[in-house]
Amino acid sequence: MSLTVRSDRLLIRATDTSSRFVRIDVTAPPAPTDHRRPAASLAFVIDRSGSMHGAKIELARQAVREAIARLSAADRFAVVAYDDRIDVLVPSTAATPDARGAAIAAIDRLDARGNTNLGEGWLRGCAQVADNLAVEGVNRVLLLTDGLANQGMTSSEELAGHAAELRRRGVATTTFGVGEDFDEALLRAMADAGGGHFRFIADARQIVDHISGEVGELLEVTARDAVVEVTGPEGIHVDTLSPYPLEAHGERTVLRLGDLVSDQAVEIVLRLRFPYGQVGREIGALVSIRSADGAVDAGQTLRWTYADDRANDHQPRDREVDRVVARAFADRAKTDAIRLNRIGEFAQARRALLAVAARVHAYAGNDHELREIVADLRGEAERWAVLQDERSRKVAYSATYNSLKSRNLDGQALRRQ
Amino acid sequence: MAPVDYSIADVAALTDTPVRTVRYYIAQGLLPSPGRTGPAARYDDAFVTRLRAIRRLQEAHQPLSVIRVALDGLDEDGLRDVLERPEVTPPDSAGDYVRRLLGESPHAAAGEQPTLYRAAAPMAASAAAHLGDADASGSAVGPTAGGRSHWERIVLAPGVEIHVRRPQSRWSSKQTERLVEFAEQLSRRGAP
Repeated sequence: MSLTVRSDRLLIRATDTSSRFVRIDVTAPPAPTDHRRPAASLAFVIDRSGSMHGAKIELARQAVREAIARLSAADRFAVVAYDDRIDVLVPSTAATPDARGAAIAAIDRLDARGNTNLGEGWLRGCAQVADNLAVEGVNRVLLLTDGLANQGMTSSEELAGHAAELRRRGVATTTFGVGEDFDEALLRAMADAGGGHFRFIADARQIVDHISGEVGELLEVTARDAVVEVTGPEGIHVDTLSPYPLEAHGERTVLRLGDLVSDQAVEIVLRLRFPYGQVGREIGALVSIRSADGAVDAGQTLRWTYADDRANDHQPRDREVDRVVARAFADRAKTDAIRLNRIGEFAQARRALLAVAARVHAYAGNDHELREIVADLRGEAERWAVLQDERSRKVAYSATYNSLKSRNLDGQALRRQ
Repeated sequence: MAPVDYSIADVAALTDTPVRTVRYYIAQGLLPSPGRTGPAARYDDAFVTRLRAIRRLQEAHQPLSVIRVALDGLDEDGLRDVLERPEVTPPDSAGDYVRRLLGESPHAAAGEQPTLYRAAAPMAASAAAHLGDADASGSAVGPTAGGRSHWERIVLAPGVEIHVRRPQSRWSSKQTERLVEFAEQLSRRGAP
């Protein structure tokens, strides 16, 4: 397990407020050599509304069959199917060979029809995990849908709020969106608040790979419910560019990373805003990381020094930090531009990207990587300034999201080499 | 007190803490060094109590730097006080939370979750709703901003109990404690 914390600049302004960025690199512990792992309690929640008919529902069935084949008797699983009606096809059960066989028969009867009551389907899956929590294990609901929530609880804020409350109580949520008709903002909000991941499945043929990939990661968790904490003196304000839920408690700011898998490498970008202060005075903040199981527990202190404007303007920059900060801003601008493109605000989409390009350009200097980010943003500005089809928007959205969460284009966790 | 002589494995088992985490706390100065190193090292009750207090504060998401300050200079009694504080955990379980959303809870209509952490017996929903109304009309202490509050039942004497909505402001909490102390004095005086 490793933790590295660094700031883009170490001097802060004496006569004005300053923002400084902090890059945190976390690597999760490797899997133990004896292959022991925490038990998992999972619920697969499958949309079986009319639009899932045909290949999609067949592939979803196959994906769940393959996923439960990877579980062992210490694990539990449940299968819930929803349209306008919710059926608990398999109530949470220990994954013994007999139970897995019976479940496969039940899953094979799953067929598509009806409307989509996503909210209640998901909650029924949560109930299955909640009543069968794997103590000191991994507890996760996996929600697969190709459509919108158009019945029952449909508000994104409401569902995300419940996802956050359930995560606090030990049940996390991962969401899978298939095709072009689902609501990515909803599925992402539920996953971010719910401590899981949002995975975009562009083509139904990838359903099996994505579900299998996610379950594979859940069975390789080596640090449960990891939390980054920043403790600094009063007056420092902390926020983040990374898509993790953040809670401020006075002098303490908590960022919830969720479960980390064996050797997973995560980059996090924080922004700290400092009040002005006396030249020469030092100000420090402790950045620590901890997981609920104690597998991760480390801290590092960063110090900044108040200095006059001239010293501030001529101080060295840590380019390794600048690059991840620029990439995070670029990803956020792209997410925004995609949304604007969808609602026909093309000029505004272009402006949003060019504004970030200009900001990065201002400090890029001769840095090759930063200049590439600027060039990419300028290209993207022209791309989102004209109408794009929904598939392109979803592919691009998913790419920026995975980049912000230190995942590859397929949504898989990056591992230490 | 009986003489104590724990190995690091005993300490780890007693406190449900991985051995390497115990060593980490020692290295960080949160726990005293046992003097000797290796398997011969021995630890006492005070060490175990301090470790429990550290774990307790960590569970409440306190960072080690803050824990260090909070526990610095506390003797064993002070540490026990830390251990006896109510836990900062969500007021209900994930199962209760989901069932309430799905409309399966008897408390669904009351709009809040009466969870008791001192009392063993569940409170009837109607009583909770009634107390909730009384509180809303007469007291400055409402539920928290998130709307999540819970009721604590405190038995003052056989057949006499009070119900307190938590969390309370510091002032109300003190007043409640005084009330409980007063009731204890009364019941001691009244004892045959």
